[in-house]
Amino acid sequence: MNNMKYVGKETPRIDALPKATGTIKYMSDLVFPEMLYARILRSKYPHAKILKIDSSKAKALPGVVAVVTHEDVPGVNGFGIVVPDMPVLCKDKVRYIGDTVAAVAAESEEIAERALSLIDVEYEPLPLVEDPEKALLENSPKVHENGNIHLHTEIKRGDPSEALKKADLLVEHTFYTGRQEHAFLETEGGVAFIGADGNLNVYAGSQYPQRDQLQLARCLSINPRKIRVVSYPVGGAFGGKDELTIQPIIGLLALKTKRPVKITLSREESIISYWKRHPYILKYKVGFKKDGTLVVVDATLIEDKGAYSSLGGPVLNLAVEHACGPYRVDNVHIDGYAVFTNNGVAGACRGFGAPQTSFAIETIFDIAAEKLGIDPIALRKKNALRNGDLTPIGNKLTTSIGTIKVLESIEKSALWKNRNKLKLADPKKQWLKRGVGIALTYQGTGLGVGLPDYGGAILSMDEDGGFTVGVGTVDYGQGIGTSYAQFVAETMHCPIEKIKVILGDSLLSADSGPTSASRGVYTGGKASVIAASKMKEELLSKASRVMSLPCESLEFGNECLLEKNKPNHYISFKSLADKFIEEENKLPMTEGYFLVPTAEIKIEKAEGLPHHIFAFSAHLAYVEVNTLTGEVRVIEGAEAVDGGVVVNRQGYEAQVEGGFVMGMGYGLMEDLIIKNGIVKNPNFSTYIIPSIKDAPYNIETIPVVNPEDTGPFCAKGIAETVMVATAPAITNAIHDAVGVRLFKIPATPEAVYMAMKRKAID
Amino acid sequence: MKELEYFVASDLHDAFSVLTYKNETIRVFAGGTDLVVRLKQDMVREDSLLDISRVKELSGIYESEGFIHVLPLTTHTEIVESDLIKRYAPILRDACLTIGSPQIRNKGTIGGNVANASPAGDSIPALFAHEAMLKLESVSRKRVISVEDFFVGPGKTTRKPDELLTDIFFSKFKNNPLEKSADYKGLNPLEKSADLLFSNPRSLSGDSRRLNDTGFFKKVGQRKGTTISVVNVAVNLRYMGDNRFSKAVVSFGAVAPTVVRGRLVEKAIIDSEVDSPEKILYISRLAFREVSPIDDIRGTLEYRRDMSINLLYEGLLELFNNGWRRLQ
Ligand SMILES: Cc1cc2nc3c(=O)[nH]c(=O)nc-3n(C[C@H](O)[C@H](O)[C@H](O)COP(=O)(O)OP(=O)(O)OC[C@H]3O[C@@H](n4cnc5c(N)ncnc54)[C@H](O)[C@@H]3O)c2cc1C
Repeated sequence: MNNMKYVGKETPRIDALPKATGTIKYMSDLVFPEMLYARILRSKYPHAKILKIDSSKAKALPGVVAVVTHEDVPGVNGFGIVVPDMPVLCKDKVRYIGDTVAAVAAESEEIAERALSLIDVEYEPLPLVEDPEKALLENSPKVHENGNIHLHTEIKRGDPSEALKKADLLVEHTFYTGRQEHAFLETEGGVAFIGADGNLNVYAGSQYPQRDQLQLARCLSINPRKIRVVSYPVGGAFGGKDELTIQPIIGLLALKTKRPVKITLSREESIISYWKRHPYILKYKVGFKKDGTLVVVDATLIEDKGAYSSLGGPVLNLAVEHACGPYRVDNVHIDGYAVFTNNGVAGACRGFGAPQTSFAIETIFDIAAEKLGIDPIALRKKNALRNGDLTPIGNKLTTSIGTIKVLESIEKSALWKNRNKLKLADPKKQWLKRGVGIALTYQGTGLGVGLPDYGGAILSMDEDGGFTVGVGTVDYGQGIGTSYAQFVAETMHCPIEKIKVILGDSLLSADSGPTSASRGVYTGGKASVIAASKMKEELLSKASRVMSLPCESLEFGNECLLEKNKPNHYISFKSLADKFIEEENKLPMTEGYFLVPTAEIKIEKAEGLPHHIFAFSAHLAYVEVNTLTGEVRVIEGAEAVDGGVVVNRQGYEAQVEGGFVMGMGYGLMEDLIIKNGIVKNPNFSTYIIPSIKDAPYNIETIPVVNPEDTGPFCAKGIAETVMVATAPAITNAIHDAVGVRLFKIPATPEAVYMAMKRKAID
Repeated sequence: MKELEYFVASDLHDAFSVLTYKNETIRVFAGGTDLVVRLKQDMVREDSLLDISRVKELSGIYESEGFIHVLPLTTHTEIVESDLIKRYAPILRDACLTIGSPQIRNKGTIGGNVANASPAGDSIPALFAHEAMLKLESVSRKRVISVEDFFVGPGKTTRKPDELLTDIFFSKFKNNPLEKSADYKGLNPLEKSADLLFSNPRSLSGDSRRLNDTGFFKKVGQRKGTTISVVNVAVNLRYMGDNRFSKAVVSFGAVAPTVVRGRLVEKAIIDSEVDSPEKILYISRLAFREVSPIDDIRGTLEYRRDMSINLLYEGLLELFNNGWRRLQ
């Protein structure tokens, strides 16, 4: 890609200036004339019948303009990407402590808040469903009338029980993972208002404006075309803004009051009320041959779904698909359950089921390497999936497969080569021990089979000879807007400064599917390239007419079309734009649509499986463990990542560094604790995320080039894989340092200390 | 958050007048880093605030007649950057360095940390270690008490509603001012006016003592930056050579309703030759008898108890390995 000007080159983010100077307007910065403020009354109990709701006193409070309850929801009183089972406003039952019971719009936030306390709700508490394993039992209380199993996915290949008997080494353990909060900087919020055209506008940061539009249409019972959703800019999402949150409430209140209605959740309300990463219980039995060959994986996965479906089903399926890691194995039994409980709600979160299983399988690989006396990278290489192999769930790999490449790259890193020397800690501090750990993972790009997966882009020429590209996917920090600008600038031979990008607008940008599943660059990027190629044809034919030359004798130059071999004979884009206006009274506009290629097989009852395109990464962590306190310091990290090609080195490094630190938080400290249905740590003084002092001083990014022909300029997506295997790399490093295994994350100082203490006692 | 009345005092006189008038219905507001969190959670009983952040008389660090005074509005950043503190109160400096983030240290004051009386407040064990005294004043009264006598329980102190904490001070020479008061035979220093008590300090043998002072502050939290102590410990020792000590002050935080002294540990250090890691471990284990922790969201009883021992052990061992010289 050396002959390219933008793609593959370090490119500053196109939104850097407004973000750095604070001029960008996030939804919580928006103020409209006559604007009202909304507040939501949330359930007092994690599981209860609603006997009565009386909002008359709240309605009577001066300054209150509207109070809404379930009776006011004009359409379907439910939303959810897969099953719309989460009430906009609860009618007869609440299922978690953040469930919405009523909402108020008032002249000020204070009045709205006071009005909440005037709403009388009578509840009859119901028995709690807390433990997802007990929830599976026949006699368990039920969160939903149809039972507590939201989804059961079971995959079987080969003869796992026979293979378990024959294996030379059997590793059997149960793993537990934490309930991770996305911890985006901007909490859920936005403004809804009726426009001059009578349409409902909902400005709320999210990951897919067109789907929000459809879901809102269903709840509010209005034509989706009469709703405009603007979901950009958004201050972070990580999956937590894929599903709807506050949008139906402010939409409803705006319709009711005919005035703009705004809400911004407090951190506590945000943490208590909305989506988390699902906690998992993972019971594994894995068999190896003496020579290290993986022969069987038998795993039961239990997903604590929380109260409503959202994406819990697809998350379970992805976990099932990724349960064996990126390894060849012919005897497989994966039994997955997504189970309803009253433990808050969980949904999409970066990694989407893969971080949970990666922790389990990568710990098992580390145990096997130790027991079999095989180098951990050699063991992984021996079993690594290669092009042409069948994945553990049985689909044939035909796209770019980087398993071996990332392992080879990480093997050459300074951290791995010097790991024995690095193990030496300060000799004066005998209680500090160091170690290096590795983990390997992969992550499907896109939505998989069974769900329509496509990218879309609208490209229009601007008067100045530049271009504006409109893509529905959203830049929530990962930098796809900049990537789209790079793709268009490169394809159009146009300086990047003259490319404008419109993201996340149901009216002005093309439906490009959700901004999730590591698919933003791949789908929206490809669609942008397609739209740009069509634009080039339009410009070419126009130039040919204007210059009276056949198309074949023209070529693209910098911001112009020129006659081949006659560089002085050209027409600039600006002049072409003038010509378009002069002759046609409009500027050209093209659209690009890209249908994502999918795997050939479909897995019964497992929507989304299998994936067809994968990104790969190998993670290293270098840690120091204080054996007296259990504190773990991550000194350094490294990741070798196959994302096809590097579109923007700065963006790539930012993803790797951010992903590593997020994975570190998952592995070492983050867990939302819910006891008796109540969130015990609903703010950042008790819910612990890594601070800059916890981040390693160096995280090495090792890009592995492995072009994916179907992607834009051969790119895939890396947004998730970069965080997925960090936790097991760290816990494996802890083992390397002090010889204890952690089967539960987060491995807090106390957990690590107790594991060491128990081992010493044994 | 409820609505409150807000008073700003421009000087100490002002502050006392409002305080006397409003008494228990007003809450003192210094840097606000503890209080604002509580206000947002509607955990403040009082219905008005007295902002003392502009009272110049209550800010600064100075030396006077053998004592180092750290006035209550001094921020943690100012403490960390002070040469006097670096020289005479290194343990306090280490403690303040671990408080919150730079932003919190820029706003948060030592007086707020003390008056807030959290069992996990990081400056408190350090002040124990330096054997600090507190001065509490109202319009009509002044009293001086040892920092240890200030705390009653979590968030509870002996401060009266009309009192302000106006001074935090300790001897340059690590000599307990209360010991010195033996000079004023028969007089309980707590009953004497603070001015009389300290107008006449006994001269001590000078800086040579300080050179033999050693010690540390350590804490374990749930992460490295911006973290509340799950356990903290501060230790101040006077070294006599040959692994022997003439003096030891040991204090633990977050393991009892208030910060506590580890008197058994102190005695053991003074009474023995601390000449091996095994001896240090033996002594450290006595911490077991000093603490009465609880389970909470940040840690369990068992972990806290073990950490009291292990932090002490780690700190003492580090010193031992370094020839009992303070680690820089
Ligand atoms: C993010 C964050 C991190 C933190 N990290 C730490 C940490 O690591 N370690 C730690 O110990 N603390 C920590 N704290 C708590 C807090 O910052 C400190 O306790 C700080 O020193 C409080 O000082 P302040 O001036 O802000 O007190 P304020 O909030 O103004 O007051 C605290 C209390 O003291 C009273 N008060 C203040 N001054 C006086 C006075 N002169 N006389 C009488 N009463 C007075 C007030 O009435 C109030 O009850 C943290 C707080 C936050 C928000």
